Amino acid sequence: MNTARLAASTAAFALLLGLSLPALAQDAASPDAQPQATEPAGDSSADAQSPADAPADQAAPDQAGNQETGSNAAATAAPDANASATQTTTEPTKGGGSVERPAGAADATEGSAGETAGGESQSATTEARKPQKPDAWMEDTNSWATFNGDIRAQKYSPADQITPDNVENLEKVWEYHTGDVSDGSGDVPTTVWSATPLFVNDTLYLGTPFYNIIALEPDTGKEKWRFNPHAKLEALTQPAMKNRGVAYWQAEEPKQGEACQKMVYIGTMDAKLYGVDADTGKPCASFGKDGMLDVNQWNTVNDKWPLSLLQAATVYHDTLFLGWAGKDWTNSAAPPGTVFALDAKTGKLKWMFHALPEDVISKTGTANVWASMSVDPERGLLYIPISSPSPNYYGGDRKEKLPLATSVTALDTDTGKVVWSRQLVHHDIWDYDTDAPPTLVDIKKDGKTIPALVQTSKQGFIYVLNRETGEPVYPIEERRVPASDVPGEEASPTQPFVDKPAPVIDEGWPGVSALADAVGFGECSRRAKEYRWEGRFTPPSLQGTIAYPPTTGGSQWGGGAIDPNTGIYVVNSNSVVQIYTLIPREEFQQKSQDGETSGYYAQGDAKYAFKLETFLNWAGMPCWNGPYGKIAAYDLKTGERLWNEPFGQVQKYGFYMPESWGSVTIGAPVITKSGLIFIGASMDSRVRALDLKTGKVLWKALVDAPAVAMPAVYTYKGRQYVTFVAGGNTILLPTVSDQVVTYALPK
Amino acid sequence: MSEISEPKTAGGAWLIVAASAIGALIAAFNVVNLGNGIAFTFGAWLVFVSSLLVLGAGLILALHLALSRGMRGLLAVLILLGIVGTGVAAYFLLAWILVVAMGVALVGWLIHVTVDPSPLD
Repeated sequence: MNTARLAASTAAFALLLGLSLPALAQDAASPDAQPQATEPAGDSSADAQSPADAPADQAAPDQAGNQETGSNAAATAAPDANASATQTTTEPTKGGGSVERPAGAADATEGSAGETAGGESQSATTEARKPQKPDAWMEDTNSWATFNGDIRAQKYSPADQITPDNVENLEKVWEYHTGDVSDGSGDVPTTVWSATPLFVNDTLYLGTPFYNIIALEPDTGKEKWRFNPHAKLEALTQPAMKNRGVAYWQAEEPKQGEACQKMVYIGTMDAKLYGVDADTGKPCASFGKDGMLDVNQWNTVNDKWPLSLLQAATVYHDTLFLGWAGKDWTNSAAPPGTVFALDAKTGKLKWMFHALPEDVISKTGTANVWASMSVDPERGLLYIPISSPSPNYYGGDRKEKLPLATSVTALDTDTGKVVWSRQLVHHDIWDYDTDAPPTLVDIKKDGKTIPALVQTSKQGFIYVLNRETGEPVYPIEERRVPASDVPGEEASPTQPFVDKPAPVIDEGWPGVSALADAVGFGECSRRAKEYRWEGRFTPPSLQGTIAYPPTTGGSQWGGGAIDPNTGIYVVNSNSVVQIYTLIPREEFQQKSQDGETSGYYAQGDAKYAFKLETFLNWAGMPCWNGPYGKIAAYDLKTGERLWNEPFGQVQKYGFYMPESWGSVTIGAPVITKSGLIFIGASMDSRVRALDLKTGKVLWKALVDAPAVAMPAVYTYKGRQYVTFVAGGNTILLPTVSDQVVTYALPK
Repeated sequence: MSEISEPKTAGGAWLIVAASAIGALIAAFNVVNLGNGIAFTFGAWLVFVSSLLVLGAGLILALHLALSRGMRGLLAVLILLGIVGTGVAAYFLLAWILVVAMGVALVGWLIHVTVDPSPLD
């Protein structure tokens, strides 16, 4: 039966992978699915624009300290919160970045413990930092107050009513449908809904892919109010209408009877940020202009598309920290990465952090923050996962050091200045965006308590750093990696490697699937020999490179969850093989004229366009061995992996593939104090509870579509609830839904 | 006297009929029952149709409608393929009752070819 199941499963799964995986890489800050064959002709002289005397020198780890570049503070005109233009001043910060703030707001740096010029030691900087305190409302153990549960992105709930012993008794207590869903067959693009609900203020808050905010009663699912901004429903920067939820803020001491003392925020694809009263859903007139802030007013450099606000803002005290998403395969020069700090009450700009040096933004861009962020509320540090620069797969025109690109970086929440930064990939030409929120936890190791940060990655490494200094808790080793053989490209000679904790995927690619190879009459093995593969970080090539992990990850934007009491960390992952091929501009133009556009991306006017394909045989079967998705647990006290199991199932035409194959996953786990993991994420539209000790599935339930956000776990009136949003993601399955479903133990 | 050797009894064939009829009902329910994970999928329709085909072929055997020994033999082989195929498909659909139904039908088929006067004689 197993053999028959294997054979039959393969065929069905293959088609699904073939259809879906090229798109998996396109989540968030990635291109739309449309072929980019209509880009203007490339400028073959682009290479000459790169300073020949400034080759990348990435042999040393890129601790960004003491690398200030740029000019002295300069005043420029920039508009303020939907109002008249105001003067801003720009200051350089570490790593070649800069901070821009309204003129007159520069004194925000005074008294803060931000980075200081001149290379002051990290420890001194840390000592100078004034202890701060978290927002009390966010520390309520019954709540799920942020996208990641709390501001430290732990994805942990201290609720312990539902246990491994009684979880099998979970029952659905209510279900709600937002009505905001599209399968793409009509005028509205298909929806991709990954919004983890918030539970705070005795209310469950949802954002929808049509950018509505919905407030529900947490125990019944009854609607309290709905805010509809009548947003533009066009897939301006993404292949689908996307939303990853809302943010919540409240005043330290809310005034009774006064509106907008508590607010909920949602961003839109076209860069509008709305702020409404959390109790009524009415727009807050004091926020932006009548409750709307146009963030695109600050999109003043390489304005190729709007700064899509798909990820909910990070809230700390009275500040909203906001990143954006775009598409980084379509252009070479693109909007440069910026993180905004905004006044939560008014939307006024406090500061803008720019990750790229000003002198390179004529030929590159992005290096933005499209995933969620985290904050150390005691230290006043904002941790941001910075993505790769554009264009994604050819860096011949951006050979300068860009230390903040593809990094995890700590900013001073008051000033926006870089406190430390660690580059995770040098001269990124694989689209290895740092794509998940850094998880903050104190680790007890060797008798010491280490303030740590855990960063998952597309490249499959798990980086455990000291969050005060950025120094590794477990070794990060610079190792030599293959050179590029593409004229014009200079790949970094070394890259940082992490052996402990063990990467979420193996060192080598999984090898050719015998079954797929047989069905393909040797196609898979023949093609595998033709492609370039010299281990991790093999650069894209003209003949095609096996990319493992490719842009799909590894780990995707959900990141992992931590039990802060035990130091057990859980993360789901993907094992996918894709082929990266650079296409000379003239050949690309010819293909474009011939109508051969599928899988091709222009990369602006770079010397090479790019072709991305998942490694499949003629029948659409994956040419590599499974499993295709796993979930693993690590003990951060020792760095050891505790277990590593295939996760989820693939379903096609109704048929389920073997559990041992696992499933490509999008979403993330949540850990509860009682030793459970709640997670959706898989292609089979199931939500599951796993035993934290073993990874064994203890409970699962069918929902309307893949639950591609992590659940919210909260306690209301003494009863523990687990709420999943089952929105689906066409990357995983064509099925989409508008379902919100909540489970609890019977009363 | 017909040159076709008619089975004296058809207990096995009737068991196939009964099991596949139950299987077809279950498969039909699976097709329309939203929320079971396979409703209106190709796989759900497939096992519904294949169950009906097994049912029809079983009826032909049970009612002694086959015209020749060769035809009865062919039907028996096709029924076996239908039962196994439907059972395997049901297994992949996680339609466990249908798997059991096909298991019973398989027992009927075995009775038909081993206990009942063989149509293959």
